[in-house]
Amino acid sequence: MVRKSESDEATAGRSEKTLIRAGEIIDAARCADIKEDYLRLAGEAGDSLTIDLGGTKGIEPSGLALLLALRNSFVRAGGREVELINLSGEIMRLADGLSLGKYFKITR
Amino acid sequence: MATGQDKETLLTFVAEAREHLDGIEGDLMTIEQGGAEIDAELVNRVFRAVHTIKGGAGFLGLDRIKELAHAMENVMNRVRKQELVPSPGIISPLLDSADVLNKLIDAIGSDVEYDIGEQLRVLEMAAAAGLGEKSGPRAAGSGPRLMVEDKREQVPEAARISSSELISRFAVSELELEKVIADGSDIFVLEYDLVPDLEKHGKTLLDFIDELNRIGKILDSNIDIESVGDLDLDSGRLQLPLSVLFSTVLDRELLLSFTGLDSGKILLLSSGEDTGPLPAAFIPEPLEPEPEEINAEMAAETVPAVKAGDGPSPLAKAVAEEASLRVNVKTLDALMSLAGELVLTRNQHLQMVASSDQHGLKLVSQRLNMVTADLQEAVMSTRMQTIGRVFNRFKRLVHDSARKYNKEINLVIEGEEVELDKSIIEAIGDPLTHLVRNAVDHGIELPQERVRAGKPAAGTLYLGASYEGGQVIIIIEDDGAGIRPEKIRDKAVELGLFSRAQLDLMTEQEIIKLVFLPGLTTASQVTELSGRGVGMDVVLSNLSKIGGLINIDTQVGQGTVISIKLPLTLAIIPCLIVSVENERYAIPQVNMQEMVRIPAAQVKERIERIGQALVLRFRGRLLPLITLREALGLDKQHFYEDLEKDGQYPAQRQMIEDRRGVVRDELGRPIGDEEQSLKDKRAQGEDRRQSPTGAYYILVLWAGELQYGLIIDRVLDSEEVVVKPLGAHLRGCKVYAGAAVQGDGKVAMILDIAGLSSIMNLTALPEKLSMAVSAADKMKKADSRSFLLARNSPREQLAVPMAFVSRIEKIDTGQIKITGGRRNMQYMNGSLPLVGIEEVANVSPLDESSGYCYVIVVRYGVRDVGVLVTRVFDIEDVSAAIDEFTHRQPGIQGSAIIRDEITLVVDLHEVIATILPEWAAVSKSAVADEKKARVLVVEDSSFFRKKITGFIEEAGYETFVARDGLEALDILASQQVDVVLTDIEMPNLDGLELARRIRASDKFGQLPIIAITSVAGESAEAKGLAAGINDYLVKLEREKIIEKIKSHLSG
Repeated sequence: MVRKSESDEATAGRSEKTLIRAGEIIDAARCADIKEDYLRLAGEAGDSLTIDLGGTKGIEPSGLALLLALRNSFVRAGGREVELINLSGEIMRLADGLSLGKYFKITR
Repeated sequence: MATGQDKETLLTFVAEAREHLDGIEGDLMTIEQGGAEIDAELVNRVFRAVHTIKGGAGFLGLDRIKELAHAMENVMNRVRKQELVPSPGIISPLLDSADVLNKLIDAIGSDVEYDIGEQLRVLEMAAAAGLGEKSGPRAAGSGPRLMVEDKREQVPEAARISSSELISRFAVSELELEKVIADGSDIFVLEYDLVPDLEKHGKTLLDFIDELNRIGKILDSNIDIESVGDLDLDSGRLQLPLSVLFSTVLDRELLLSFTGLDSGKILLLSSGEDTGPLPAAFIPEPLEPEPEEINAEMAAETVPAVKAGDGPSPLAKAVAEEASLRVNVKTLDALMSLAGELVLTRNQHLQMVASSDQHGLKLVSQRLNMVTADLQEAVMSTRMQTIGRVFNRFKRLVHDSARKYNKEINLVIEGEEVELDKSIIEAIGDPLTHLVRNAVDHGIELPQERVRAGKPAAGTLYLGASYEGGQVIIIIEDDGAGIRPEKIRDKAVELGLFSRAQLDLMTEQEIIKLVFLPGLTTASQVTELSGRGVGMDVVLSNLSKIGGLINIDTQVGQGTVISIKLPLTLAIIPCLIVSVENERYAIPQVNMQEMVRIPAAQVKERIERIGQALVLRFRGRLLPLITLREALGLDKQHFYEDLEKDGQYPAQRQMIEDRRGVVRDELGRPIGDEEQSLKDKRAQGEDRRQSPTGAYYILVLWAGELQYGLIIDRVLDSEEVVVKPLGAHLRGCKVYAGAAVQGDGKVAMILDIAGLSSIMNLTALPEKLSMAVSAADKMKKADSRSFLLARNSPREQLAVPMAFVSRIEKIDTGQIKITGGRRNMQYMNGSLPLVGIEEVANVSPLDESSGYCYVIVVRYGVRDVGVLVTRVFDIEDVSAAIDEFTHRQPGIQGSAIIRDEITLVVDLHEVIATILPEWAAVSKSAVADEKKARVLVVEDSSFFRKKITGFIEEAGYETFVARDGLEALDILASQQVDVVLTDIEMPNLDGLELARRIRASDKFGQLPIIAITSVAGESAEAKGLAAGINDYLVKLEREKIIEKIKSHLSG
């Protein structure tokens, strides 16, 4: 699930960033996987961590809490920002509504 | 929470929208009356109401309601900004739109579609009106420009100040805030903890965002990022606190309901419609003064719905269709504590029963009594609603109709606070609407007519409610033209309901009451408002259904007062418990007027049988009677009361009822089946047994306009009974209104008083009966006479005025002798000349075959004469008018219908005078010697006038006649009169007043006055004497009258 920058279009040219692919629905069940992925990758991430939301259709409250906790952990560990990429229209609506731009760098 | 998903929310919205719309009408009309002087508070209230409806509808996806409300809001907004003067041109479309909104709201959930395009267009025009006119109070520049400026001004200064402190937490521009506030939205801060709040409802974040966006706008949101923590925390305790800066048109209450948040989590920052300053600082508590009350209000809304009564009628729909009810929190608390008391009492009761403590039981039962009474009252109070709900609807109705018909009407409403049970409030909507419409449409005249009649141009319509003895009285009073009885009379004849003659016998009050008959509507022109054929009869029947009574009091030219008496509730009603055949029945006291006990000794005199019907002579009326036993088809059983043992026991003797033998033919064979005919006879026959306590108990009842008596066996008790609806199998049973379970577990059926009368076909009869009685009473005063009924042959009935009859003798035909060609008989040591009526009149001759006949002895002049008839069979008081044309012939004065038979009224004096002309001469000569005195006969009835002048002239006097006291005075002024003979009851000037005036006169003050009347008696006589009357005589006592005249003249 977690890969170093591969041939993914969106990540082309950002090979220095660490990418976490979020999956279809970010819910409590997914949280453990993501957390695991992060812990494995955090060391290599540098100052920016990218989470790919391509293919993500829904985020549950616990999922969002996890993303935010992940962001907090990353920043506290000296990271600069966490970027969310490939947001679908629906997820974008969600991000707007919750003003997620305050906590993440959001790239469509 | 999409449409239909959350029924509770929808219901809340509907209930609230209705409430808002209820208020809007009255407010709009007040605004219109105020014209350019705008009551800002009122305008804001309407704006807010529409605004809230818009918001709720938007949230629920009710697009048409939203659009319409939005258009209304636009107009109101311009009124609020004083860009539009609330003229009728502006307010009318708003009122109409409110109606459409009502309809749309009614139609929620149904498939009914309404086209609001036209309404939107009208509103748009109304809203645009001010722009074109440039006549708004503040219109200075061009319209659109002005609006922009206005909008800026409209933004409260305070909103900008407060944003610094409160809104600084959020990333939102001042400009955006201003825009939101100017749109009329409120700004809230919503506090969520997203994880529990959303997961509790199984919602995703996207659902959550979309929902919020549907009911308003998320201006900004902050996640408390610190509280979220980091991945080191146990993921099981994830927190996601979110505060949302939110603008919405919903009010706080709806928002609470939609979001499902606790009231403490919703903070109102600014109110779009408040023009006052915002709070200077954010107070992390709701702005409403008492949070407890808000919670309570919410709780009240979720109180289980109280089922509405019967199906609502279309007119009362708006009031009737509510399936849920708002209950005051205090009432709920009281209910709760009473429920607690009840449990406590139950526990005590159990204890007392276990310990068989009699004294304790008594105390507990007393306590139970008190608690139950309180509980009952408290529960009832939740169902009580103010009549203002109904009354306020009429503001609009009157306003609209008045304008439509160019009438000016001031509506005065009083007693709006009077409370009635919900079901009654729902049921009176229709009848009241009809009555109010009647008053506006037919009652109050056009302004010019009113001015011509010397009344103020504006009519007044008064609607009032008040309590009176456990009932509510509603008064609908107008100062209009009143109801003209002749119109009703004409209509009744036209419809063939009554004949002219019948109507002539009725009092005006009785005629007015005819409006309650089906088909009678007084408007000569049918109008859209009220003259639609359905009318007062429906009003009456609707009111009767809920135990209401209605009365009309009208004065031509002065106005009409309609009073309605209603019970407070239908769920628990005070009843009289009676028994028939040991079965118990409950009779609602609201229908009862009084209870009459006819002692056994008076039963014969006071209770009569007319045809098949029983009637009671009661307060000068004939009261139709229903025997409850017969109405219910109960078998006749006989109970004897054993006074010693204090109980009732069924009678053992079965056959005693009928002592009559079997009908047999000439040969002595029984006719028909002996057994059967005996049974038949028994079934038809009157019961001749009287129980030892054979008194009749009669309840005098009102069923709408109809009064009747109900014969029952025993009166048991008066009780408040709880009405239980009847099972489906008894629905069709018109005589029962419900059932009541009594203390001992027995069921008493509650009688439907109106239903009972209708199954006994009492509806039409009593009208006529009571009319006949009242007419009879009238006649009795003036013209009632006793007749002796006689026959010469079975086919022909004759009537002889009793006034002429001295004696009646039954004689053997052998006693009749013929002397000198004339019949006579020996009688009282002399000879009595006998005459036959057939000798003069063309009637059946005397039948002597039976061997006997009757002699009616008549005093004629100074001697007696006998008139022969075959049979004399009764004396009857007759009030029917005598037809002096159809059967008039020598010896027959005319005819009358007596006992359903054409009866010839014999003129005895004519008969005798024709047969014995020389006797008449003698009779005259008896007075001929005396000076030919002049007698003034004052009498209004032509019958009596003729009779009296007839025998006075026969006695040799000269007569003058006058039809009333005034005419008499005229004659007295111009003629020489020696004696005055006057009737008492007369139109214009009655006998007593005539006497007073005669006595007061210098010229003829000493005249002897003889009163001739049918109203005899000491008190009448005393009155007469006081007025100056010398003698009191009974009409047609010929001899006495002549004697008196003589004595006065000689004296």
